[in-house]
Amino acid sequence: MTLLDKPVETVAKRKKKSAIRTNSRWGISLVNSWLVFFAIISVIPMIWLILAPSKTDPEVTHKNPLSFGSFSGYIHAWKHLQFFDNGVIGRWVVNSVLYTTAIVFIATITASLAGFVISASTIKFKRVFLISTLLMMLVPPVALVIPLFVEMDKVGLIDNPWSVILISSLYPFGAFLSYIYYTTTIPPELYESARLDGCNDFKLWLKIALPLSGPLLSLLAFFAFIGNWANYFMPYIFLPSSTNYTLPLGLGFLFYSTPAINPGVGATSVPILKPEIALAGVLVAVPIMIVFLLSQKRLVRGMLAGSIKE
Amino acid sequence: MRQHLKRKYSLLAIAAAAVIGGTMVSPIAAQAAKPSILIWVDAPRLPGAQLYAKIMAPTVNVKVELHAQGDLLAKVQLFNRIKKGWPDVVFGPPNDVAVLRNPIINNAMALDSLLPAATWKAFGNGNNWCKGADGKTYCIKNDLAQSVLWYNTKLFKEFGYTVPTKMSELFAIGADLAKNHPGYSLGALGDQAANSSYFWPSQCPLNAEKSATRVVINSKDPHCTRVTKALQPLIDAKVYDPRSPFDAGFIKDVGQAGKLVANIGPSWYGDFVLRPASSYAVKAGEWTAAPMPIWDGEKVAYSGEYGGGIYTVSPHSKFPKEAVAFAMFMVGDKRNLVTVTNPDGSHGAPTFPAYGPGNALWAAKVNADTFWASSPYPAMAAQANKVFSGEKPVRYDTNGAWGAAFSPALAKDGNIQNALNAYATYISNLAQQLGYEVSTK
Repeated sequence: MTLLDKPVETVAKRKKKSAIRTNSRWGISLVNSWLVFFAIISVIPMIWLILAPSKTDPEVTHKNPLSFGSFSGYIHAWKHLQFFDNGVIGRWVVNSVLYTTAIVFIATITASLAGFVISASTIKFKRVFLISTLLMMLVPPVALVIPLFVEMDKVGLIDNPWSVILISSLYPFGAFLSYIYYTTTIPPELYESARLDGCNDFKLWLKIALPLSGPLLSLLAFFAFIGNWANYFMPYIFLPSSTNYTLPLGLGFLFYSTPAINPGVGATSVPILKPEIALAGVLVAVPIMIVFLLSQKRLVRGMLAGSIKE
Repeated sequence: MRQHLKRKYSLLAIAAAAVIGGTMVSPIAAQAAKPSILIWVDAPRLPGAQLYAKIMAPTVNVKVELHAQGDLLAKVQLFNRIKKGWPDVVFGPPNDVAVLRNPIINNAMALDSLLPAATWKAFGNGNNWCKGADGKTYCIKNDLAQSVLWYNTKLFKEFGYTVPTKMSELFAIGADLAKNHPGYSLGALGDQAANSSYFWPSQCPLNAEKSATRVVINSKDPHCTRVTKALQPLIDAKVYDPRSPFDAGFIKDVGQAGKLVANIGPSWYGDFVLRPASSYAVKAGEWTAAPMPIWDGEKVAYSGEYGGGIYTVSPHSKFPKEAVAFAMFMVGDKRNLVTVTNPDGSHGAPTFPAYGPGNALWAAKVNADTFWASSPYPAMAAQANKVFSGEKPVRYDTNGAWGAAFSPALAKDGNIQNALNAYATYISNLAQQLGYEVSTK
């Protein structure tokens, strides 16, 4: 390399760097614009929903959609919701929390167990189980309504929360996710050495796999929560009594029962209008937002688990 | 060791199953000496039903459940699968009687023998809707939603109008509004409004069930075209609005703006559409109701209906008498019709009771209401026995079809005959799908 070469090379490099920087700036701006655009699309309805109960019914229709009414609006809307079947909405909140907690717990544990068994146990027909799991993921719940309804009747569980809890705890997607996780992140040698030390399959899961499954369990629990907190269909079919309803089912019921949304209802002496419906919607949506915000980090970690093999 | 663990886990699994099973499978209740009935009602009927449960507690076990009316059919079909779970008595929309009477569903029993003849007679024509083509009565009508002419007395005086007794007089008012008072309206026609206020009272054959297998649908019948011919120029002149009366824009532009001069609407229209602050918010002392104007050449000024719920009793009920007794409490007992407290603080039944003696009790409540320029009750009473009986309950969703076919077509080009034809085509398809033979005569 001569002395003259250096500045030439530096200029070329600078040009290249500058071009990259310019491209990056444009690229970043473009990406950011897209992100802002989609954020606006998804966030604005959420803001509207949160602001709507602060207004009166006419204000919801005629005022600026993103304007704020008053804090007392929330209190009024909540009080009015209490008039519906003697405050049954409180019961729906409790039901939603109880059912979802039970489902998340059972589904997470059973999915983790199932995934572990398919990936690491010594049982026969593992491939059959894996294919069955995949097939179960393809069957829409609607297709199974009548057989499930008849089955639940045979075991005396119609209008009993356990019908929803047990059926919703069947979690083939979770089992498949666990299978992928246990196959890719835990080295088989670890299982082999544990077996040499006298561990059976259950102990392997309990002592080896489970302690290493933090990100997986978070992911399983998160998806089980999302899928079941907002589940309308199963409670609708199996729980005819309004006192057993969950929040999404109750929200649908409120929608149907108010002339503000369903003019066919006509005359009613129940003060459920748009702000009350919006408040019920907030009760359904906000827990999902909170859970998502709280579990973001663990989720990302869980999703990336197994993506790099060292 | 492994065997020991296996046995241990098996025992654990059996114990867990037993515990879960024990908590889940409720013991079969011993046959109680007291009759038990399960009641399904909507939210406005809930206070009355709960009061009934309380009153009857010593003699009848009454369980009251809220239900969304639109879910009934799906749930009954599921109950039919397992042959149990049916509610004994259900409050529902008027068309449910035909849907539930359908042999495939089979969830509405004939009630004739469960009440004395004098009681049936006291309904007058109010319970005609519940009579099947076989002459049997399959439901008890809770309330009537008969159309009357609601009008603004202040604007009528200001514009120099007299209360129309003929439809031609009403349309003349419309023409005058278009010419001399643009912006003022005679109401909205979207959804079921056009039917309950105009087509049905005009005897337009749209859902005229002649038997369980035959229905007459003819949107080009002269009883229909006289309506469309009269309304079209007034729609063009913006005196009638193609939107729904519940449309937020119509409420703001016309209802709340004080531009509504008169409106043919059901008996509940005053308290639940005109009056509420969240709806048209009309001023106190300005509005009242008059009987329906008569179509030229007719002898009776018929009404249509917009709603008017019914009670049906399941043929699977072990206690049909108790089930009917509940329905009669709702339509005839002062404690429900006048005194029960509603969630919004009001008292009594919200709508015009279909049962004569019950209606007499309810009348005092309306007559005592000082909100109206004069009591609207006489007009409601005048129309109570004049709901045209040619329109029948049918097995398909007639009301949904107004929203699905008529309203969009009317909004599209404002041509009401085209919109009515679209509705007729839509319901003809529905009727044929459900096994009706559709004819035009």
